[in-house]
Amino acid sequence: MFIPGIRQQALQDWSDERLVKAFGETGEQQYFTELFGRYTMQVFLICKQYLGEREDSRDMVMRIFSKLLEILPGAEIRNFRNWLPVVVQHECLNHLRKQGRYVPLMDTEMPMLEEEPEFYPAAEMPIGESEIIAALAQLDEAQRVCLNLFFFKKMSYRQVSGQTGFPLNEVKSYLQNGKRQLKKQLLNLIATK
Amino acid sequence: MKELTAHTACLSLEEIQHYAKDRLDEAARFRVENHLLDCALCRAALDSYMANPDETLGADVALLQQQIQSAVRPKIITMKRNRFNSVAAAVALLVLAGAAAAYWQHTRYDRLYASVFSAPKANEVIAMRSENGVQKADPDLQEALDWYKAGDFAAASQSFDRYLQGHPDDFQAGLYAGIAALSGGYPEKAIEQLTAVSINDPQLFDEANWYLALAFLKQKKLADAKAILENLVQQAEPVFAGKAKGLLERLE
Repeated sequence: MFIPGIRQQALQDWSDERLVKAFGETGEQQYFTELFGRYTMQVFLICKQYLGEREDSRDMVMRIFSKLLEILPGAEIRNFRNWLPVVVQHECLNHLRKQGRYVPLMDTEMPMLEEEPEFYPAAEMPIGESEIIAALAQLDEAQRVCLNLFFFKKMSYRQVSGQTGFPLNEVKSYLQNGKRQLKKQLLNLIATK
Repeated sequence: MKELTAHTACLSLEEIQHYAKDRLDEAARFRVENHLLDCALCRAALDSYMANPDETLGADVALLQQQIQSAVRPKIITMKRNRFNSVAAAVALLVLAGAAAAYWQHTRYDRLYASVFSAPKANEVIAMRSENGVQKADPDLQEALDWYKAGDFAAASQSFDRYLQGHPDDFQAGLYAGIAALSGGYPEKAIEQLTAVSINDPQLFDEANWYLALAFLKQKKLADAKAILENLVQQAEPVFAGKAKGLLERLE
């Protein structure tokens, strides 16, 4: 008999990528169940934003679960948790359109995100703080200022916005793009070492 | 500066709820905002929550988690969907039948719930805890058991909650917390607690699922109640399989 608790203990430490690969290679659903189970709450919330009703949203989550079971083995996915919200949004919008419900075109399509560079565990990263500061210096000024306030001064988004005068959405954008750029530069540094 | 490069875990529902209400301390708020920079999934989830804050979503998520765990067995998924369709059809017919019939059904399930629900007697619960003397000494747990013994299930439920905050892996207490919540008139909370027990403790699977089905019946979520009862009929030990079968027949 399948026992959920035991399965969870065995697979909970696996990375998303390892689970995707294991599921693709073996077709065993337990790998996908563990993977999808990690993000059920987020998928449900996104569905709820589009569909409104809780029962509809729950039903949509299970529909997406079934669909991914079919398509995931053949898909090339480098970052599951950035790929998933795009799929969820696509399924919700399709569902609404099939029902003939109005779906405004503006602001609905979530762009496919740039793949995140692989992370390095901080302890093993062969890069010093001075190199991080040097990499920071190469960023756009707005990104650098926001990252400095956020990471060094530990300010919240709102506090950064108050300090710089940038609107909150711009602060988030500068921080997201700046952090991504910074990680790319650090990876290049590691590659050249 | 390790926060710049380290991989961060996705947000929990609790973190999202507390962040949305500005209830986090500085360190927790930084973890959330740093993670949001990297994770499109959590950003979208947070946006959704901020647009429509709801403190009671935990029960939906817990139910989904259980459905997903069960989905490892494709037979059960098929069964649940078929069951859902037939219940949906039944609901449609009921609507057509008119308000009088709907009212009759409404009271029928209340009566049915009342006829099958019984919380374990206090002496059984106390005996259960006595086998594990260390945990019995916890003041919150002791208080919960005292309230339970006195028949004040709402108060017992609150004491269990306090105890479980510090002992989230005590699923035996989780089971009785769920039963107390159900008895005390909090079926949604009961669903959340019993689902966690059902998923995490195979030893308590049958009992947790029995009361979970009753919690759904209490909320008149018949499709969910029936799906769990079907599952019990197939997998539970004879005592609970028999109870589940009997209740299913009465629901039909």
